[in-house]
Amino acid sequence: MASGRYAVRYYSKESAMAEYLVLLHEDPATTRKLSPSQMQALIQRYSEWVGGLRADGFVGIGKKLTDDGGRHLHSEKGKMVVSDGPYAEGKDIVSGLFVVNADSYEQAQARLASGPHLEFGWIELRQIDVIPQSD
Amino acid sequence: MSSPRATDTRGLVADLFRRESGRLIALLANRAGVARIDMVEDAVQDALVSAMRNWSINAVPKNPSAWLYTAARNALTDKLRRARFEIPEEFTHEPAAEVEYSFSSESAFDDELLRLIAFCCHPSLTAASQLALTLRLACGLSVEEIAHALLTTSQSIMQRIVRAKRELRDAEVTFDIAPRELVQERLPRILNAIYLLFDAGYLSPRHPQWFRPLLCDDALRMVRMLAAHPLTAEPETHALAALLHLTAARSPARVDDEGHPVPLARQDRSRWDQAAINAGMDYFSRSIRGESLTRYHIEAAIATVHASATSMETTDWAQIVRHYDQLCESFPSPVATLNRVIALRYARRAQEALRALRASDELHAVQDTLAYHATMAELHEALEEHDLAAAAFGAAADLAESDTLAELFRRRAQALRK
Repeated sequence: MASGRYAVRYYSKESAMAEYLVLLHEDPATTRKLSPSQMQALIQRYSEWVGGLRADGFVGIGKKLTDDGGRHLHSEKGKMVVSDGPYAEGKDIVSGLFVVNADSYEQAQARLASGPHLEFGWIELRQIDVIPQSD
Repeated sequence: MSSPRATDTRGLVADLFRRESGRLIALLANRAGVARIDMVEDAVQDALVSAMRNWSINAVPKNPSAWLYTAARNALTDKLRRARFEIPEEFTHEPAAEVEYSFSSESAFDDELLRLIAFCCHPSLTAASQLALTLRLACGLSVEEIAHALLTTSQSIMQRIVRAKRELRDAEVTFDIAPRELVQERLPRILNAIYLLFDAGYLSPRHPQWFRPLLCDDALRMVRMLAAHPLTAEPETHALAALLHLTAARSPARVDDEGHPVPLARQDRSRWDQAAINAGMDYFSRSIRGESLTRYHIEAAIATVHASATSMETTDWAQIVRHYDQLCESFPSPVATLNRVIALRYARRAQEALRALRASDELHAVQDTLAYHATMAELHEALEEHDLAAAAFGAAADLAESDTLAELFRRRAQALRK
C-alpha cells in the first residue's frame, strides 16, 4: 500500500489539496434483496476498503447514518413543518458519508471506484468550497 | 498496515449471517407467534442490512450475535406496534446485559430451530416445498440462492414459498407440536429434506458447479443437531448422520487440483477425512438399535464398507452387493438399481451387471440420464468393449451441464478410442 506517499502529500501545505464530501446513496429495495451471505461478504470487502482509505489519510471523516431516514424540515406560511425522511417508501437514501482529501475530482473518483459500494448503490461527490481568507 | 477495523471483520465467524438468520427467525417466531412469520423475516432482514451498513463503516461489535438479536427484536417490536399487534412482554423488558450474556455465535437455541424445521416440514406440504421453506427460513438462503441450488427459477421458488406459507397459515399450523407427532410424523420428512439438501450439494450433474460444500455443511449441521437433541435422537436420525458423515469424509479426495471430480476408484484414500469417518462410524453404531431399518441404515452400512477399505481391490464388494440387494428389495428406486449394477461390476460380475442394466424395468425412467450412460460405460469398459464404452461416455458427456463433468467423460471416451 502506498500510504507513505499519500500521508506526506495530504498534509503538505504546498499541495492543491481540497476536501470533498462523499455521500453514499443506495436503493433500500436493492439492498434488502441481498442474501445473508452476500451481506457478510460485503462487510468484509467494505471494511477492508474503508480501512485502506483511512490508513493513508484519504478519508478524514467517515460516518454511517441511522436507518430511519431522518427528518425533513420545511417552512409553510412562516411555520416550520417537520416530516419523516424518505426511508420507508424511498428509492434513494443516503446511508453514510465521508469527508475526503484529494487533489482533484479525478483522484477522488479513482479511489472511490475501488470499493464495493457501486455494486449496489451510487456515490455523490461534491467539492467543499473554501472561502478565501484575507490576512 | 491493516487497520484494526479490518482485523475485527476478519473475526466474524464464517457464515455467521446465514446462521444467525435461521436462528433469529426461529427464536423470534417462537416468541411472537408463527402467524407473524412474514414480519419476523422482514425484521431479521432489516437487522442484517443495518449491521451491514454499520459494521462496514464502524467497527464490528464485540458480540455480533447479541447486536443482531437486539436489532431484529427492536425492528420486530416496531412492526408489531405499527400493525397494532400484541408485543411479547420479553421484547420490552429484556435487560441488555441478559442479551449480551445469552447470545453468542456458540449458543444453540436448538429447541427453537427444531420447531422451525418441523414447521417447514409439515406433512401438508410437498417434499419440494418442505425443502424450499427449510432452506429459506432455517438455513438463511435467499430465493435466488435456493433457485440456484435446486435448479429452478427464482419465480417458481418464490411461488412455492408463498403458497406453502399460505397453506400453513390457513391450516393454522403452529410451532406447538407433541413430541410423539414430531418423531412419528415430522422426523421422516425432516430427514428426507436434509438428505435432499446434502444430495443437491454433493453431486449435481445438471449444475454448472457440480459440488457445493456449503449445502453439504448445512445438511451435516442440521443432522448433527437432530442426533444430539433428546426428542429426535432416533435410530434413523443416527443412520442418516452416519451416511452423511461417511460420504462427506471423501470430499478432500474427490476434487482434483483443477476442480474436476475424482471417481471413487481413483481417490487417494489417505486424504479422506478421518475425523468425519470416526464420527460416521460412531453414529452408525448408535443407529443399530430398535426395530426400524430405514434406507438410511442400508446406505450407511454400504458407506461403512467403503470407509473401512484401503482400496477398491480390497473392498468387500460381495457385502456391498448384498446390501444393495436389500435396498432394491425394501426401497426400490432407479438410483438404487443403478448403484447395485455398479457394485456387481466391481464384484467381478460385470456380465451379470450389464444384463441387469438392460433388463430392469425400473431403469426406463433413467435411461436417458447421465448416471445411466456413465454406468453403462463403466460396464463396457470392465468387459473391455472399448467402442461401446467410449460411445456411452460420449453420451454421458453430452448430458452433463457442468463443464467439468462433461470434460471428465470426454477424456475417458478419448482414452478408450486410442
